[in-house]
Amino acid sequence: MVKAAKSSALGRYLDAKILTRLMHVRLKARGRVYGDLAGDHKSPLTGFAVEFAGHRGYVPGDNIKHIDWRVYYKQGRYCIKQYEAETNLIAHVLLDCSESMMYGEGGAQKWAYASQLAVTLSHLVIAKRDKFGLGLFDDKVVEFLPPSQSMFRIHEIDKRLAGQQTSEKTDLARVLMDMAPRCGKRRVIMIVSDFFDDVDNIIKGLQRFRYDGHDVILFHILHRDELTFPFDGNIRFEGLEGLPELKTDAQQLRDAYRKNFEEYLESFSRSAERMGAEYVLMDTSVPVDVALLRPLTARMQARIGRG
Amino acid sequence: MGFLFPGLLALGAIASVPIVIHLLNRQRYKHVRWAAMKFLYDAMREETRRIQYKDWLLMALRALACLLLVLAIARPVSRTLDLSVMGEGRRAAVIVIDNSASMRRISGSETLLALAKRRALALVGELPPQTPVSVIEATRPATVLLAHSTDRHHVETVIEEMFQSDGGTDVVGSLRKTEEIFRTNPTVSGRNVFIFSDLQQTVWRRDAASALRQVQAMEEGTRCFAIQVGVEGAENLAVVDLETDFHEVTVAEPFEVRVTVMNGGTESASDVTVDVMMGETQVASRIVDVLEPGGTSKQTFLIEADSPGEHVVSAVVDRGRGRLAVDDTRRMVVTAVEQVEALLVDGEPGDRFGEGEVDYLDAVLAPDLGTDSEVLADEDQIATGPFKVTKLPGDELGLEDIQDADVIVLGNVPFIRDDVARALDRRVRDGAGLVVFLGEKIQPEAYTELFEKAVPANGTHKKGKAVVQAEKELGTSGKKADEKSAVETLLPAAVGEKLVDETDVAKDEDEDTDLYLSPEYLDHEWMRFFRQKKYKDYLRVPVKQAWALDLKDRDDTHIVARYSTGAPAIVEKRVGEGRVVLIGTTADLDWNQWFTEQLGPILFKRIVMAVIPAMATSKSADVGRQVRIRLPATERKVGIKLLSPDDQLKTVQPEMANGKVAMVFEGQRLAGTYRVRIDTAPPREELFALNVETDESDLRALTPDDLSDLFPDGEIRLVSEESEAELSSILRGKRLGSELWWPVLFLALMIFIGELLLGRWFTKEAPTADALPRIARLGRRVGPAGAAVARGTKVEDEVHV
Repeated sequence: MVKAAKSSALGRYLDAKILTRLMHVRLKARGRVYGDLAGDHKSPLTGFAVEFAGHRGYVPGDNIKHIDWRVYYKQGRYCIKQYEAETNLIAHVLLDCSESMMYGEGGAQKWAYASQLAVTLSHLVIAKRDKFGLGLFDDKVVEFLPPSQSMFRIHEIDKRLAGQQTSEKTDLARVLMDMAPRCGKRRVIMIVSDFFDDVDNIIKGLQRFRYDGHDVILFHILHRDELTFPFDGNIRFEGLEGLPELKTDAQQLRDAYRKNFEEYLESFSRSAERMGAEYVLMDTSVPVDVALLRPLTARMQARIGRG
Repeated sequence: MGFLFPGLLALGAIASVPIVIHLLNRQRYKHVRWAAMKFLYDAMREETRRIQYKDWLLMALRALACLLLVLAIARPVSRTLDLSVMGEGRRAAVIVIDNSASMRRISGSETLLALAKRRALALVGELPPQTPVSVIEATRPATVLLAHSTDRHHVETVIEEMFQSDGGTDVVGSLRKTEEIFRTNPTVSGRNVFIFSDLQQTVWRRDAASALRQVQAMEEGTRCFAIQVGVEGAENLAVVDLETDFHEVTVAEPFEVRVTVMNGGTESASDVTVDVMMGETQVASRIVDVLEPGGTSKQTFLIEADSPGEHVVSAVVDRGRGRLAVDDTRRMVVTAVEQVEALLVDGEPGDRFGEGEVDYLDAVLAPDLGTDSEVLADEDQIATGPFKVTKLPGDELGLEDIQDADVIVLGNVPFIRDDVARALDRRVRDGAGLVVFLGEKIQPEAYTELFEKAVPANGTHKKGKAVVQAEKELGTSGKKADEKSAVETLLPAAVGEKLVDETDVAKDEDEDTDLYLSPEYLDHEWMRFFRQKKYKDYLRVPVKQAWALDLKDRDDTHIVARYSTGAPAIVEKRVGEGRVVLIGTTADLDWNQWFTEQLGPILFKRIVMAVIPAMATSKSADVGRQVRIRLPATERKVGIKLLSPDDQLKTVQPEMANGKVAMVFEGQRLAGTYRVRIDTAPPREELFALNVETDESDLRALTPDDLSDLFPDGEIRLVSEESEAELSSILRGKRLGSELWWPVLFLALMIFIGELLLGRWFTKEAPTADALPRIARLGRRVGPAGAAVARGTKVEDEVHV
């Protein structure tokens, strides 16, 4: 179980141990991304850099210093030598701050866990000179911090999250549609939520991001209780997000609950993957660094083709 | 349906406990703020009805089980249900009342029988309605007066009218009857036996082993209770035996009677008067100085009958000195005749005493003892007999000699005429005795044939006309009986070879041989006398020679005595009404020394007495025993009336069995003299006497410890006279009817167990890995988090960064 996060010199959610463990991994896009600065990530654009990309015919206006004279000598025509463009990565974390994220206690609370995840990701991104933006939402966009590569942004995020108030409802589809214009194109969009919404609606919202060429990662934050439903006896379940309460003998509902929940997870993960988004199930009882290790490593090892 | 403890039904409120708990639980919820409500709603929608069914089912089972538990505690009883299949069924009651002679004694102002009846009626009153009740009287022979009656009034009437008997207590018989009653009503599974008795020590000790076996033979669930009445006061003087050697005596000839008196009390009795009466006349009297507690005294008297006919001889001990009057007198019937004719046929007559073959027999039957009563009074001596002896040489034996003889003795007679042999056969079959001694003059094969000639040529004995007619009319002529008589011959055995070699005897004439009567073989009733140690040595008298007795094909012959070698020495058989005895050696001293020792006189006299039916047949018996008096075949249709001591008149029909006509009297319940009037022309009267059983005179009762010793596992439990409450307690505890508590409790238990198993099954929890297989698959795709969830383990244990 993750220990309850405590305020430290770095911030409430920034944990030096986690950062140390993730020192050798970075967030890498699965495709080419648009950046606004030179960086380590492949861009769909070509430019003048180190890695040769190909030739094209000279057109008036091109700087003659880019003419490949060797080709001219061999073929008698002017060709311009082109190189792969490399740019920085702009990542956005869209964090669900609805009341359903408040389930759990201490570090295993979904909100705390998601916050720690967001702050950790922001550090991973900014530390590599990429840009990191944050959006908070419930049934609407509550807060949007535009991308920045300033280290100060990490502390600002930590501070914002620590003081964030939750609201009752969530409407993920609507939020995603609202958020899309603010996120540009070909960026890494990380949605951190428990996704307790209609799967079809969520997928519709995500399609908008895929349309814009974003690399979408869905961090599905779930408490261990939500996965196993370990309750016994008579329990009055008070619905978060203003849902009506339910009194029942939890033991007798366990099988049916598990079955339904399992179907939901299966359906959601498959839909996400079909759409091209990466689905990552995050159990709040698993430390953030451990949970992040495999997906980030997998991304680092993936080859990126032309696209 | 009723309840033993209806007050406990109030505990039925316990049945509401599960409902209350259920309702209370519904008010006591743990509060959880929950995010994934959508899935709970879905699950709830799917499961609501099923959960409700489960809840209500479990709650109903719990409530039902509690209710049944309370019912079981309240001990439900059904008088209509028969649950014998389940081990609890109707309990029947058998009431055994001892109405034997000992129950005549007075306790307070009433007899013990009246007291027993009163207590039995009280018990019947406490039995639940519809209880099947049987009533048995425990006097020999035990009789079922009423079986399986649920009519309370009828039961009470039978008990009230129960007759006081003078018979002996029949413990075993009454238990056997009880077992028969239970066996004939198998639907009754619970059984109580209540025995109301004075529990006489002697009787119960005598019958304890058989009674124990009988009780153990009864089915499980049978409980026997002995309810003791009349424990106090055992003082009693009684005549416990009255005997004589001859039941047929001669007029004006003294004969011997022996009277045994007993002091059944706990203190010695002095100056006990013993009177002997002939009819109403006192003929002898004696005073016994001291009679110790529990002790007996045997007094011998010489009395004589002054006229022919049947006489009642009674012995009376001090009347009124004992608590039981009925055993103060004991009676027997003797028949006085002018003479008992004994015909001694001498096959080898001599001039001087001892030379003749039957001289010693003559001396035994008609001794010349004078009138010395002291000698006669000695019990070891041979008392005088009623015999008129006629001696005849064998060759002078004629038909007229045989006609009047009651017993005929042939001593070494080698030959008799055919007509005499035939007459001899007829006489024996009509009731005379024949004793045959063998000897030197006998030719074995010829001798055997001699008596076979006596029967018709086809070897069958022709029945008298009257007998055949009687069998036809009474329908009792069995084929078997005919077949048996068809092979009857007069002699009980064929004469074989000599047992001792003649030449050897001649050589050592003076030496004793090893042949003598075996003291090991004393099974025959005539020889039981010699079982006494002091008389056993009488048998070791040498026999020098004897003829072997061949019993081949003689099924109806009985061996009276054997030689030391095992060969038959004396054999006998019944022939018609009479008996024939064959003795393989001589009646004089030629082949044996019997008549110079005690053996010859004693043995011969016992044999002669036994072969004359009239002398051997006693006309007295214990109350409750069957009395059988022979009648001539011509009297098969006569009317018979029995007048009992209480002047009750009863008509009896003659019975016929094995070709013999007889009067059979059964079920007489009083001690005393019974008169039988036979409507012949002219009418005649016969007497017989019934006496109280000896054991009835010992009034000492069993103590609880005694009963525990006799029935160590409580097969019969004692309920003492003082403990009326104990009896009521038994009735309440073991009341009759169907006990339902056991099946109800069993059902409650089963429901409890069923509810438990059902509850577990309803709430069974599948292992996490099985419950979330899809998450497990998901875990494989998405990393350690899913895998850990799927395995239910901590991720830190599995992943090393």
